[in-house]
Amino acid sequence: MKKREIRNILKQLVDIPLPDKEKVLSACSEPKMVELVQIRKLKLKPLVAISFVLVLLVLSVSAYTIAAQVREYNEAVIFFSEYDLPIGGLTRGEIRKVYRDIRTMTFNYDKTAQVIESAVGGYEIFQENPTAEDLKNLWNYKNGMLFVQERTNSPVSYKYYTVEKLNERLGFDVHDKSVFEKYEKNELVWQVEFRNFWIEDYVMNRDRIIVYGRLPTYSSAQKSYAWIACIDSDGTVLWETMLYNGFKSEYIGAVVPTDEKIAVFSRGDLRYLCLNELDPDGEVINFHKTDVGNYGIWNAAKLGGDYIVQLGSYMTGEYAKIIKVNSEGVIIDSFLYDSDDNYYYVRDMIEYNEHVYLSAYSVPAPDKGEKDADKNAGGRHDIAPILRYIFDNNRMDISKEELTKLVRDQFTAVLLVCDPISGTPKEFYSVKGSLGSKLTINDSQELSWDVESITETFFSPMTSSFTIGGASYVYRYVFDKNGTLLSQEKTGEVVNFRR
Amino acid sequence: MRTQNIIKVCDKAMIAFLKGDKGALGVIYDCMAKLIYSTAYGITGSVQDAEDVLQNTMIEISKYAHTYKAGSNPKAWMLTIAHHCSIDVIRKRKPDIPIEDSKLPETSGTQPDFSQIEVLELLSLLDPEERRILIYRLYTGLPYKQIASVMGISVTSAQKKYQRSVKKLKACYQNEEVSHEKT
Repeated sequence: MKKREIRNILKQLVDIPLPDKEKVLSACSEPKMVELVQIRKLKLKPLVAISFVLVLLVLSVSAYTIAAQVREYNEAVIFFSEYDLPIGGLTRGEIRKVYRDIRTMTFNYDKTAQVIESAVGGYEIFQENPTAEDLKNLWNYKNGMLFVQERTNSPVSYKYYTVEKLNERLGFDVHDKSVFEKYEKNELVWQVEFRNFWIEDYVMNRDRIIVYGRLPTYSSAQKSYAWIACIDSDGTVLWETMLYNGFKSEYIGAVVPTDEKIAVFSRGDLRYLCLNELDPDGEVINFHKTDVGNYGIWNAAKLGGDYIVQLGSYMTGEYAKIIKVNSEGVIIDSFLYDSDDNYYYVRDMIEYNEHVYLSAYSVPAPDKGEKDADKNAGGRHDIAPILRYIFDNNRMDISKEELTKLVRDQFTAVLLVCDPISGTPKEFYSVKGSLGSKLTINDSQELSWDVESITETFFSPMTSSFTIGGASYVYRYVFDKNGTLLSQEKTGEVVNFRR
Repeated sequence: MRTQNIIKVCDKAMIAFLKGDKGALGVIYDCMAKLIYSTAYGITGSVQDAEDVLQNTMIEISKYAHTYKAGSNPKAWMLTIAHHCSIDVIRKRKPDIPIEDSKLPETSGTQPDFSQIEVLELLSLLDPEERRILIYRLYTGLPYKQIASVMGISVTSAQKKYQRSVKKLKACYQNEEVSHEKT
């Protein structure tokens, strides 16, 4: 099928009749009269452009060197554009040098720091001369390669990734294998390959690793099955199991391993919550499905003899819906963490010391008038009042400092300690200006709570009028079984903040 | 109307609207409604959703007109707003209405217009992001730089996603031809 044929089919869209014009325009606002900002387009007159080219040609540099430099410069410009780096104020030579400095990851050129600093909102470069390591971290943050400090004191870590290969019949890359690796003190210990599925996540089960994912597909017409596998501490795959529950599409949302069995919570056809229980050999011993509607399975934890599962929906803005599921898979209770004054957004949960801990953040609930105005806020309830302040007061050029203060006033990290039977919170910890993040139990059997402290934010209406971006530093709080705060530290990790 | 003319006319209309001319919004509608509505229909696959997108886009244009910079590209600015409105509308809808079952637009006659079925069938082979890229590139005719700006991605990413979506369609149609030949 040629592009021309595709274009001709798309042209049929032109024939769709429009709705009534007056009906559409009747809902629009009255114009606000403001002073316009004119953009002046810079146009080089042809003669000046020709003169510029002639000057370039008579430079006393060999033709070959010019070509090489031009090629490098062109590559640099594309590179700067792709990574949103500012070119302003730099000469061609400086642009090439910065490009080379970043590509080789050397970070020795002094202009590189200036370029990266002005490109990234939300990370403060140290006031003294930055080290190459500092700049490398900043660069990695800018490009989504966040470094993650180990949450335990163990030297062991795991990594997984997908390898693709070209399918000549289809003409594009498809899944070849998924690879799971174990590292000890950053040295590779063993490596396991899976061809049946691509890995989406893993959990530890004492000294074994439970890996799960789904069948790779390249078309929505194909069926997508969930897979789960078990690897022992030496890197031997003990078993691989495909979940075959009669769905067109099924994926695993959460896995809760215990001593006797493995509870796998999967989602079937975007509406069924399924509990699959597997024995230690990977055989399915119990299955139960419940129609819960369009909710994703975001988290699950053991709760005595039952389980608690967090369901969520980005579409309806529900982040704090917790259900209690018994060992048969039947939903026996549900909790919605909410109050008149605040909305809660649960991000992680864990069972510790016979209680359930929920890591969340809260934002103030709007009053009734604002609630109606926010009906079409596109789900951005947590930043709606800030956006409203910006637009109502025409503060499109709001400074980072003022915006960050507003954002920090809006968010509070919350750690809820809940009764295992009733689910009601018994006590909580809060940190202003932050979001609750990951919960883990460290090697000393202490509870570790990560909190993302909103550090710097920015608003860029030319990119998106409805988004606030920025960065947060991660702090780590460690509690003992009595709930005593043992330590707090700034981990050095930086995460993205985007609403 | 040619693209450059649309841009000039819309730019003048935005300036007039900001100076208090209510009729200027009607001019913007005449220039852009067809493009916004048909693009939204291709993305959402639903007449009702496309109407919502068109209305929401016009509302947002009138509400945030003061953020528009005179002399820039009003077409790209408005399509960016329409893009965000399409995403919002899709997010709000119930999820299990596949694009194949979307309501077809009714023509003046009693029979539905079957030409739109071919468009929807074509677009149903792609995931939502691929659908948007294909429509922006081959139907709306936006250059990669503007597509990247509208969708909030890099130029290279826009190029790769577009090539992938075209390859996917070619592969699917090739499979169909092979199976037709076999039968």
